[in-house]
Amino acid sequence: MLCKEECIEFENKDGLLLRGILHHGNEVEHKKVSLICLNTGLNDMVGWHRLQVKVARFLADNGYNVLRFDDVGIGDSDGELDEESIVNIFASIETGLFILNADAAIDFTKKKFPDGKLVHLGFCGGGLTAFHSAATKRDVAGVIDIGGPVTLSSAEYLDKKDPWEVKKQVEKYKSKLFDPHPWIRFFTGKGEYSNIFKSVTHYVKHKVKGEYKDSLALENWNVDECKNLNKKFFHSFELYSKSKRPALFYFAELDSATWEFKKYFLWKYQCSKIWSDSVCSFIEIKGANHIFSGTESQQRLKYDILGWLKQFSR
Amino acid sequence: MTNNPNKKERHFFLEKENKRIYCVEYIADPDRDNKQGIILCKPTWGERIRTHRIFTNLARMLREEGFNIISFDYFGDGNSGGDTLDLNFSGMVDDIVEVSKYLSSQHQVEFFSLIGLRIGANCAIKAEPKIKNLKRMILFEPISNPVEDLKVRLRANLSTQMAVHKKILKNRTVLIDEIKSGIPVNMDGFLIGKELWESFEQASPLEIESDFTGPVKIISLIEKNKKGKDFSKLAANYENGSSMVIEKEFIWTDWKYYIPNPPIFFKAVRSELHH
Repeated sequence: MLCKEECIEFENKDGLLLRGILHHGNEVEHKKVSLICLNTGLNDMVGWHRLQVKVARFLADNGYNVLRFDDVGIGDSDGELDEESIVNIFASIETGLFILNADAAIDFTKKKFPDGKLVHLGFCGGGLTAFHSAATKRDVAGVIDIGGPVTLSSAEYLDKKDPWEVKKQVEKYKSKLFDPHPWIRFFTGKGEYSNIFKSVTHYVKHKVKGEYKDSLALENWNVDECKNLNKKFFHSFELYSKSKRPALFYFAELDSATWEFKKYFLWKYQCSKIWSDSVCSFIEIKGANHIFSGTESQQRLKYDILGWLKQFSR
Repeated sequence: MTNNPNKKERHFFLEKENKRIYCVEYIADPDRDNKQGIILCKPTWGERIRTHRIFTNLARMLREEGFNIISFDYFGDGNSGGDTLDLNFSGMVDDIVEVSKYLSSQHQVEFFSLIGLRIGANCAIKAEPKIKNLKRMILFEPISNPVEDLKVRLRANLSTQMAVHKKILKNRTVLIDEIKSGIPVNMDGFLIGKELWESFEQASPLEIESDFTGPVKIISLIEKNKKGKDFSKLAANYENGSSMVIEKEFIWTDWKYYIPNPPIFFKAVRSELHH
C-alpha cells in the first residue's frame, strides 16, 4: 500500500525554515503514534542508502506517521553550517547542535496530530539528538537510538585508528598467519605495509592504555578518565530516564559504536534501576554494520522497530 | 505548515503517471527574472547524498541572479517515489524531460540550461534532444563507462562479505551474473537489479551523436597535483563543445570535509551561464 507522503515545512526557534516529508500512517490500521526521524551526521533526510525512506514507508504502511526532515544547513533546509571539518561537525551534532530542529519537529508534529504519541527515531548522531531533545521535551514518549556513538568523533576514529577498528584489523592479519598468499604478497612488495604498521602500533598503544580490558574490570572506572566520552549524552540519558520513558538501543555487531556502547554505557546502566524503571532495551544485530547496509539487516531493523512500537503502543 | 505553492523556494512532488518525483523549485523574483530555466541533474545514491547541498546552494545563488531552477531526485532515488530497483537510465533521462516540461508549463521560461554532475551529466547528454528550447549544457565529470563504474562499486558488496564472512563467497563475476539473471545485488545498501544494469550497459560507453548547436562545456574536476580526465574528444562531438579543468573542491565518494559552497565550482557555472 502506498501511503500519502506530504512535503511540509516548519521553522525552528532561530526562525530557520526546515523542509521535510511527512509519511501519513495507513488509515486502516492507524496507531496514533508519530515518529520523528533524526538524521545521521551530514546526511539529508533520506539517510544512509535511503534507509530512512525505507523505514518511514514501512512504518507508515503499518499505521504510524513518520516525519523526515533536513536539519539546518543540510539538504533543502535553510541555514548554513560554518565549519568544514567533518570531525568538528560530527562532535557538535553529538553534543546537541540539532536540538532546536528536533524540538521544532516535535512542535510541528504535535500540532498536526494533537491526540497521538511521539517517538524520536534517531540514526547514529541522530540517536544522540533524540536523547538531548527528549531529555527536556516531555512530549516525547519514547526514543529509538540506532547506533548512536557514546564517544565524541575524533580524527583518530575517522582515520580508523580507534581501538575497535585496529583490533579488527589485527585479528584479520592473525587469521591469515598460516595462509601463504598474504606472505607471498608481503615479500614481493605488494603488502599493505602502512596499514599493517598503523594497525599494529595503534593496537599496542591501545592495549597498553587498557582499552581492551573487560568492562567488568572497569568497575572503578571514572567517567572523567575517558577524555573522549560524550558526557552530555550520558547526562541527557539520565535526565530522560528519570521520567521512566522507554528507550530502545539498536546496534550492529560489526560497528565500533557498539563496542564502545557496550564498554562504556551498557555495563554501567543495564543492571541499574534507571534501565529497568524506564524500560530500556538493547538489541544487537549479528552480521550488521553501522549503516545496516545488508538487505537482511535492514529487514530485521524494520521489523524490530515495529515490534518495539507495538509493545510501546499497548 | 503545508508547503505554500506561491513561495519562491518550494519542495513538492511532481506527479506523472505512476511516478512521484521529488522536486525543489527556485523561482526568480519578477524584477530579476531572465526567463531562463535551469535543470540540475544530480548524481545518484551516496554521490547524491554527499553533493545534494552543493546543488541546493547553487540553485539559491542562481535564483538571486534571475534564473528559475529545479533540483530533483530521480524516481527510485532520494526522496522520490519508488525503490532503487525502479531506477534505470532511460527513466532518469525521462525524469529530466518531465521536470523541464513542468518548469516551462508553470513559469515563463524561454530557454533551458542543463547542469549535470557524474551520472547526472550522462543523463543530461541523453536528455538533450528531448528538451525544447535547450540553450546550453554544463557537464561535470560525466562517467565514460557507467556499467564499468557500477562494476567498481560492487566492491562495496565484496567488502561486506569480507566483514561478515571473513572471505569472499561471491566474487564480482558471480554478482554480475546474479544481477543479469534477475537476482538483485546489494551495493552499499542499495539494491541493484537487472533493469538498471542493462540500462547502464546500453548507456556504455558514453557516446555522443548530436546536432545540438548550443554551447556545451565539459568540465573535469581535479585534485591538486593530479591529472584530470581529458574530455576534449567528448566535447568535440558537439558543434560548440569545449572542455576545461578546474580544481576539485569536494568529493562525492566519502565524507572527508564539508564544502557546501565550493567557490571554484560555482564560479565555473556562473561564468558559463553568463557567457
